[in-house]
Amino acid sequence: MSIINNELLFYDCNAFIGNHQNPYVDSPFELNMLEDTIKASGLNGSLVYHSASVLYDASYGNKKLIEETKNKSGLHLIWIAIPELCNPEKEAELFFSQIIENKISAIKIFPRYHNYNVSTGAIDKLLSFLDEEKIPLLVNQEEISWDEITYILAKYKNVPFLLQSTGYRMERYIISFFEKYKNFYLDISRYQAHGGIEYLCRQFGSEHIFFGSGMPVFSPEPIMMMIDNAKISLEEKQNISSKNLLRLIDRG
Amino acid sequence: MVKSDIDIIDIHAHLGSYFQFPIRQNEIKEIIEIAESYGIKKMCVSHLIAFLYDAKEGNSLTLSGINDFKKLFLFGGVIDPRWSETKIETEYLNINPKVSMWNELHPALHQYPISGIGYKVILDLIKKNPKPVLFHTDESDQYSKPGQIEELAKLYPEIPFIIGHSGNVIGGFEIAVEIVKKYDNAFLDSTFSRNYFGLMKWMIEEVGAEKILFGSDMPFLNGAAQIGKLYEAGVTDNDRQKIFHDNAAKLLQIN
Repeated sequence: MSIINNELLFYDCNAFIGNHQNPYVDSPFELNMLEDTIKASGLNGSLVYHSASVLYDASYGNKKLIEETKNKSGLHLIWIAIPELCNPEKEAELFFSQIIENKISAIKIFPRYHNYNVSTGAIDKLLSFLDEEKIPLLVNQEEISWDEITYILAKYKNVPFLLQSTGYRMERYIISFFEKYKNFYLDISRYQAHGGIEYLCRQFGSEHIFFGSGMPVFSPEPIMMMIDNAKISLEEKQNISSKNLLRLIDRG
Repeated sequence: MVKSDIDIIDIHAHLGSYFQFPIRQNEIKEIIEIAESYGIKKMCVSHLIAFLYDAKEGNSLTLSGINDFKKLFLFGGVIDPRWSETKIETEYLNINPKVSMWNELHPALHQYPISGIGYKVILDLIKKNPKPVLFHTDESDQYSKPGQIEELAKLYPEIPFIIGHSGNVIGGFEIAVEIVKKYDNAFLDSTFSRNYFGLMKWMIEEVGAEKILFGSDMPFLNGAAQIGKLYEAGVTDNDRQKIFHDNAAKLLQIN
């Protein structure tokens, strides 16, 4: 049973398929399981990456994602980037052309898990490319330091930077990013703060806040309910639940 | 906005502020407005200052805060296990007549282990006039391991123990579930910030919906998100009726 307001469309900015570490859901989380959950929860679509790109090898997982999602509607693809795909120049050119060719909607990085630091310039070529193409860059909060975020936002002002899985206790860290950088965006999949959405909308507008679930690790319904019940206007809810994401990934 | 069609009883909520992050919309009138919009009809609260600074002051602030709004609020009493036996007894005798449940005993913020003697002193008093006791638990915290509730559930069969946050993390959930399966007087609390996909369904399958109570942890956490997890696939209307209302109504003797 869903009690979600049917005036809202929900596009999820934070989901993946493949193996995972949530013991309460079968692993791997196959594409058909994602599709079933999207349907059961009343979602309208999702950005998605393959966990094999994170856990094993980025190129292997990115290719697997293309194969497994072929001819599927409602899904927008995320590729995982690592320094070796962005260096040297020849490798980078090939990777960037594949991103365009395969209509990849966003790039996600895992600097801690993949053992590098963004501030050393390890993915500068990628950041320049994303800056030029205005392709969103996604990072989980626990995967990057606040200094690395500052490095990206200050140097690459056209990269739409979407910080994901930020905990509800982190307001004092993220506020200055909202204040200083127009290209800073927040996924609220873990930002379950009482009055949090209302405060962010009032201070910075609803355009920088995104619905994300964290599937298959986390459940979509709590965040859908949180948006639906927030004390904000319907227009603001619509921005958060779907419009902001669709605007961000629409490259014509 | 669409709200739950069940009259919700919230057994885990607070008043006040927190030092690590700002708590918005925490004025009594704002909490009342939000609770009503979610369909929460009863809400058992304690003041956060009771865990962070002074339990006696916290009880006093809770009572004065909810005094004009008794239709919604129930008083959750807090006692500090680090106090002397005399001070524990004095505060217990002072507030017990007004207490609906002990909400909550907080080993993590009081930095005092569940197995410590101070909690035995408190529970020896509570067992004379048993009311539900919500213990904060978190397997990742040294003071509030959920496994330590087992000894208390065994020692005090007359006291209903609610395992706050149900252990709070993967590994902790499993320990809490085993205790609840084993002891009639042990219950799970649906309040946790990590809303793992499939967790509620798994808990219901393991212990039955009649052993789970709904908590929002407002204004610490977002109450709507806590309600939302009970609308996951696999959770039935019947489960929701028990978890949102019936189980707490029975424990707190609310008609």
